[in-house]
Amino acid sequence: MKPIKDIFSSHIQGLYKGHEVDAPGSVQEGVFNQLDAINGSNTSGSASGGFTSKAVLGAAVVIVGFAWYLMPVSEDQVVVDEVEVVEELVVEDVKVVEEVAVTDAVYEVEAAPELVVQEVVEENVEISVEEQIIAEEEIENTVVTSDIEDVHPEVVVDPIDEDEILEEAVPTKDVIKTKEVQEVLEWVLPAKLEVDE
Amino acid sequence: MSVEPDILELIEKCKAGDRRAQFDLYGRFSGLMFAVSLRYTNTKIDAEDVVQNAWVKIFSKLDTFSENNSFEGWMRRIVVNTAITLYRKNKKHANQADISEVLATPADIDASKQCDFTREELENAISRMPEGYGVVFKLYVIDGYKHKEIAEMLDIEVNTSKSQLSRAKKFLQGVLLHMEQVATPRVDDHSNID
Repeated sequence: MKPIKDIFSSHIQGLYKGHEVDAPGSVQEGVFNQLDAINGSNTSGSASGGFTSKAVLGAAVVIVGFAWYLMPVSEDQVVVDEVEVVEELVVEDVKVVEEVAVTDAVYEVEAAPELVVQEVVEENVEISVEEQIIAEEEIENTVVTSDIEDVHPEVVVDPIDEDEILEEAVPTKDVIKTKEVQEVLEWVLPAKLEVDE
Repeated sequence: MSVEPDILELIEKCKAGDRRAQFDLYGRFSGLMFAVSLRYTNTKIDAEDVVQNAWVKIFSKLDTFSENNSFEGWMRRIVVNTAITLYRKNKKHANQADISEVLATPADIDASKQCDFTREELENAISRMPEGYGVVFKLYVIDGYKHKEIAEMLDIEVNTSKSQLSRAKKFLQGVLLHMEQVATPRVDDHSNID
């Protein structure tokens, strides 16, 4: 059965192979009219888009022209434009220079305090030393003055008994005692000397 | 299957919008495409509408055609799809009404073994076939579509496509047998007349 069916189908296919029927002329007209309509719609679409863009461009031109008309003088306007451009350029340069200057200043500021601190320290040292010396001198003077007033009698006493003076600071009472002792000795010595002779 | 060089040149010109090339391409394949359109429509007017719309699609979608395929097959598929779209739009439960008629038709496969019928006789038989079966039969037998493709095109099940094809063949063979019997009168009839 199957081969018969295949023969049946192949026979039918053979009948229709290359089968053509002339199409009426109206079909051809309809096809290309429809294509023209499609192309026309596309063209009109692009044309409408072009019209829109032209309308926008025209409106922009009108606005710019009106603004131009409102400007006082055309030459001033040109000069203003140039000035604006120059100003912009100058501002940019200044910005760059300022940036560089700031960085340098920062470095200097960072280095300067260190140096100043060192110098200040040195000055402080010198000053302190001098002040100390001055103070010592003052102290010596005061001491000397006081000693001179008080010690003059002691200086007179020194040849009398030097060992005792060196061993301990001699108070005035002791000096007085030594004077008394010396007076005693002076009083005693002639007797002894007289005895030795 | 590659496309012939002259056809390929025509296609390229048509893509560029060359109207003369479009006329040449149309003249070269218009008869073939109109025959295909006639197979899938009930009236000549419908066939003209289908082929006109199909040609517009062909010219509009030339950019999608791959040169590795058959250009004639590509155009044929567009015409068939356009016709099927019209068929689905006009379909009005024709299949269900015609089932009883098909089942009642005597299936005499042996009478069709000779396959000596002409295309006109076959078209006459197909024209008597219920529309639903006829579409499946023409798609499968004449234009070589697969059942899966037919099912997708007609929005039916694959098994439905197969059963409709089987019934269409039985119907067609019965009609062809009847036509053959009518065309060749039996000897007994002549003796009776005499």
